[in-house]
Amino acid sequence: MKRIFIKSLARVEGHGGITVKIDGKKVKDVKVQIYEGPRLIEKLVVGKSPEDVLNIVPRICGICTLSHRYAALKGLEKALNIEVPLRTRLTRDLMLIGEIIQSHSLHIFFLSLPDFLGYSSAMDMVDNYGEEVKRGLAMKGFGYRLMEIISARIIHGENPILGGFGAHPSQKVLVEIKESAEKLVSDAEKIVELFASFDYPSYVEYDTTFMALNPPDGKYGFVSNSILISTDEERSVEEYKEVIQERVVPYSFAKRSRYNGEPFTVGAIARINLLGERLSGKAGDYYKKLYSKRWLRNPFFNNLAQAIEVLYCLETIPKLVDKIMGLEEPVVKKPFKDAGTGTGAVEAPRGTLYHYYSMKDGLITDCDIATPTAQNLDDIERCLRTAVGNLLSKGIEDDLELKLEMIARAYDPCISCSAHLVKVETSNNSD
Amino acid sequence: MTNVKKRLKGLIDSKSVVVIGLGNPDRADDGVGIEVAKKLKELAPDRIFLEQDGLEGVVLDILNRKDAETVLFIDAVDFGGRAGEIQIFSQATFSPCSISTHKVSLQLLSTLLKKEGKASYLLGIQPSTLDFDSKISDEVKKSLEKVVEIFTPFFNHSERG
Repeated sequence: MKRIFIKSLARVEGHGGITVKIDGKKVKDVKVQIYEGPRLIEKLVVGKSPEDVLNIVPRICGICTLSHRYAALKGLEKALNIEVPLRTRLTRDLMLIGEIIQSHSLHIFFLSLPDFLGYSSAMDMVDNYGEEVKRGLAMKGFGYRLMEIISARIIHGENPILGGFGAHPSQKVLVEIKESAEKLVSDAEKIVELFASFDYPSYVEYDTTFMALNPPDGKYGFVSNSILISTDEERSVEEYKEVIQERVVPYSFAKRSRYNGEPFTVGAIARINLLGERLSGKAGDYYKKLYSKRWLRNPFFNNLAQAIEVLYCLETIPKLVDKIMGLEEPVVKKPFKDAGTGTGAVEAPRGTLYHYYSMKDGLITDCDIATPTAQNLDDIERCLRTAVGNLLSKGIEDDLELKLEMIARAYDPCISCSAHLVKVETSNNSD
Repeated sequence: MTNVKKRLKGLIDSKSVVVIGLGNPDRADDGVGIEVAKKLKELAPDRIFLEQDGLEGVVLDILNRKDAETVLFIDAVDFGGRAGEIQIFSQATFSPCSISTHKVSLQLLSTLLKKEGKASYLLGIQPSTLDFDSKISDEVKKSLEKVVEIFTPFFNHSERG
């Protein structure tokens, strides 16, 4: 029995690893382990006020801080029957777009691109791909700037509050954001073309199910109250527990999810597969030009999906800014009740994020949060199993560890963040 | 301190320096780089930056600036010295840490700067405490004031000139 053990697929927020057991030419077992201990956030917020919750839950993630805040706001506002006005909703959407740009840019330029260009890190790319590195920095910096303008801080901004914003962004900074976004469109096109030029290996290909929120009015986007599934099913976000069927496994601290007993994928690749036909502008043109049925079977296309989403976001910002500036600045909506339940969901950069809250006497009595990476873990394992099986059947055993890491990175899980520092231990063990 | 002072003055006098203060002000001495930059910012707003100004954008702008030849990052650095001790590190000795989820590494930024013919240094101040929500320690505060004192005449002069 041979065992490939990627002990430390490390990331800043936690630690994970991959173990693959091989018997001859057969894959006996694949496990993706998340070693990071439970942080008990869902229990920590019980007994707290909604205002406290909004300061606690974004700390779950330093990358998707605003996605957590937005999903929490939606859940809490539903529970308290707070209906926020259009300008508040649009400004929150703009905030989320900033986070998607910065998160996708980090992944495609700095974590994934070195794999496809044959470098060990972005630092080694500087000599020959300095322009790409600069483009990544500009894009990521812009995403952060947008997040800062709306949330008041680059990370863990506290300006989005229950019922609205502490302060709405001024016309001046909105115009600045619009102009900056327009200038970056051509850079985004270049990165789409670069990722479209790569030859994505077929050994990872398998059939799976995709899931993403279904924005209203047939539009592309990241916010909705309904879940679209590639089986042509549509469910309300209130039914998410039934849809994603969470469970625990003994070898990992992260929960797992299945849909009708089978693994599924969320994230940019799911959104493009389910909603790509709704894209317009240059993002729509690239979708029509580049999309194929392979996107339904090959997770490496998640990189290209993220690049197209960056382009979509940059093209959407000017339209959103124009709409926001045409609306009156609203006052903060206050709750008229202190009890209820509500589920909020948004598309975080890595996929659908759910926040459920129950309240009584103005305090939280129950909370449940389901994150995208946890939803993807079963499908990552299935993909790794498929890939190793296909490679072994072809007699390819070189660089298996690197290939496995590339697959994990393609899904852009949080554990991919420091993947270039992975320590690989390969051993031949007799079980 | 004398050697550091000499080296610092050498750096400041010989090149067109841009200073970027780094760190987390919520964590005691880790905020020292930000505090130095805040105290100097008014003297030369186009030469002094804070991490919160957007590190990526600031460095990209510097790459295109002809009047910026040297970048001096200031941050708390645990190099095993005594609390408040100051050391200056050249680009080659920056820690080869990876890109994190939050920020790109200093080494990547300095590699980009080097490619464009610009030098970069890290002025590191040994922290005493990184406790959350605490004040900067007395030892580090003294070093902070010293660094500001060394820089102030230069940037005063620079603005007048």
